Amino acid sequence: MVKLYCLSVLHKGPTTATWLKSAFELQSFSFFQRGSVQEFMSFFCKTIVERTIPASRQSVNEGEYLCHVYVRGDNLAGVVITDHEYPSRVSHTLITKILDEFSVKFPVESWPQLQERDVAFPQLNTYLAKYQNPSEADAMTKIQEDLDETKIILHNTITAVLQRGEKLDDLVSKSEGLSIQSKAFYKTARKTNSCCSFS
Amino acid sequence: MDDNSMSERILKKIEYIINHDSDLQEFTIVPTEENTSNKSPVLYMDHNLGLESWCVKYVYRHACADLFEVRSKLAKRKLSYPNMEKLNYLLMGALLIHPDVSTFWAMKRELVQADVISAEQELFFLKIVLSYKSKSNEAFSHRRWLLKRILQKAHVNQAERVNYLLHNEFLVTEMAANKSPNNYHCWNHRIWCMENLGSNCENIETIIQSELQLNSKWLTEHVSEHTGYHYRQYLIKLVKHLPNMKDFSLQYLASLTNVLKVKDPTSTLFNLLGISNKSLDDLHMTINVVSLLIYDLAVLLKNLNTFYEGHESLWYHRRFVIRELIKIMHEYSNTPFNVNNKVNDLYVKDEKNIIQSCLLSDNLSNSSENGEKLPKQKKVMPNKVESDVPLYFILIDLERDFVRKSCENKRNLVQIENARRHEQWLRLFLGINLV
Repeated sequence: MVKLYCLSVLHKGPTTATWLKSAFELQSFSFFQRGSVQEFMSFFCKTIVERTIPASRQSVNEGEYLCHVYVRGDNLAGVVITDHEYPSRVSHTLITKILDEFSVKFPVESWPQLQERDVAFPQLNTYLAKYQNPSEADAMTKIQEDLDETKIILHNTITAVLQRGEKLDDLVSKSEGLSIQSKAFYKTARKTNSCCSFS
Repeated sequence: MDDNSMSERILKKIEYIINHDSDLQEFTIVPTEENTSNKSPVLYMDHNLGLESWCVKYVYRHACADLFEVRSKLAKRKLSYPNMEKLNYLLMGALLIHPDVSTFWAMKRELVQADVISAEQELFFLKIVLSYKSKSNEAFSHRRWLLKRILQKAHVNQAERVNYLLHNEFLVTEMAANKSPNNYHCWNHRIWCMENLGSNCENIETIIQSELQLNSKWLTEHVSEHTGYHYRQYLIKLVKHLPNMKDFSLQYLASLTNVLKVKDPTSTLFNLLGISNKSLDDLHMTINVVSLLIYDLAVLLKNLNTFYEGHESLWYHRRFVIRELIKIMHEYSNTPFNVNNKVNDLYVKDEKNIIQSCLLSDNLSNSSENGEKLPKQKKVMPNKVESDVPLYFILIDLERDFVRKSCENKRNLVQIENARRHEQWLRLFLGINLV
């Protein structure tokens, strides 16, 4: 499948990251799981942004998903979650484009105080819909020849992104953003997948 | 006892919802911890049905126990009608949770045969089952059994009815194909429907056309799933044998102006394959499939490759298209075509099989470095197709261009490897040397 699930803009503060705006496309998940999936994607976005140093790009491969993150030098961060077939190049160009537009609309000083509900940035949903078909990105890829793909750090699991001593299970159980239902969902998913790994 | 009455209530509720909501979209099991709140585990919102996971084991155990008790009686037809009616809700629950139990599907069939449940009702129930387990082979085969039964019984207004059934199957398979990747069961079911229902439709040509369009859209969304290409290849083979699709080729030829000079289909065909005195129907069939194949090669695959570099599936479809085209050229000019002969001609003298010869050639480059002797490549005289047919040369040019372009991006090692293999394949199986 070629699918774009989530676009998210965050601000990386000194200790934690805050969401500035997110958009999701979760129609391919079953109705009762969409809520949990959305919570998890938000949780991932935040976790990964917090563990990416400013002025760098990362791509994280987790299960069926690819998560691309770019934290700019001024601490504005963008995250895109797609499936494996969505071209990475397009994802990273899309992040750059979104962050550029966001910083034009909202001044740098306002970012630390911004609340997600106060941010009006409807472009995010438009892009999410438009870029489901990556060929839409055709015009855009030409501008972005300066995107040096060799500089994108690629991780094969989310664990590789975590700092030493951190465990994903602990982060999940401690997280306040995840509901009880989502945590149960996570546990079941871990259990069903665990037969194929020795960890 | 308490568990059983709870299970009863849950099963009855599920049955009620399925029987009364004809817009029901999907069923799923929602993972939960142990039952903490005192409320029903059956979730029902916006035409979606969910069952909380904690109750699954109780419900399934209860349904199984009751069903196996009456199993033999039902098989011997010793159950009364009202008793059979009572079985359906148990079967529904058990099959939703576990759709791979053939025994339960067999019991369902017995109920359908006894007219306790209608085949149409069953088709709807199956759709719900497939929304949860979209790769269930048992569910698909039960579906086919039902469709056959409906076809046998239908007589009045048959064409309209078959059309409706086919359309419905298309919707269900599309849903299932989107739910889980590489769903061969579902695409095979679609092929079965084209064969068994489609052949009864009067407008099979329009159906094939719209299927081809839908399929090319699906491919752009699922670029590395071979299932979609497999279905397309099936459709292409259908086009080859349908005489009535007179203007079919026009729409494809229109987008090929940069590859071919288009005037009208027949003269294009003569330009490509040489003049022939075959019947008009034969010519139409050939130009239809040829234009479609060239479209796949020069437009569809080229576009896909621009956005999704390095997907093996694209190269495999490419091979299929080239092979088909070359086969058609041979058929058209009445020249025998045999891949195996080709390989044998080139490398192997006696009884060695193709695989060995492939392995051999795979080591060609390596072994020459080691100073080992190479098997001599025999000079083979080009046959009629390889020396005369214009399309053959167009094809070689297309391939040479494509392989060269694929190797341009030096960083994409996967794509370069794919191109190398493709070149090798062309040389080994078709005797085409690009260099």
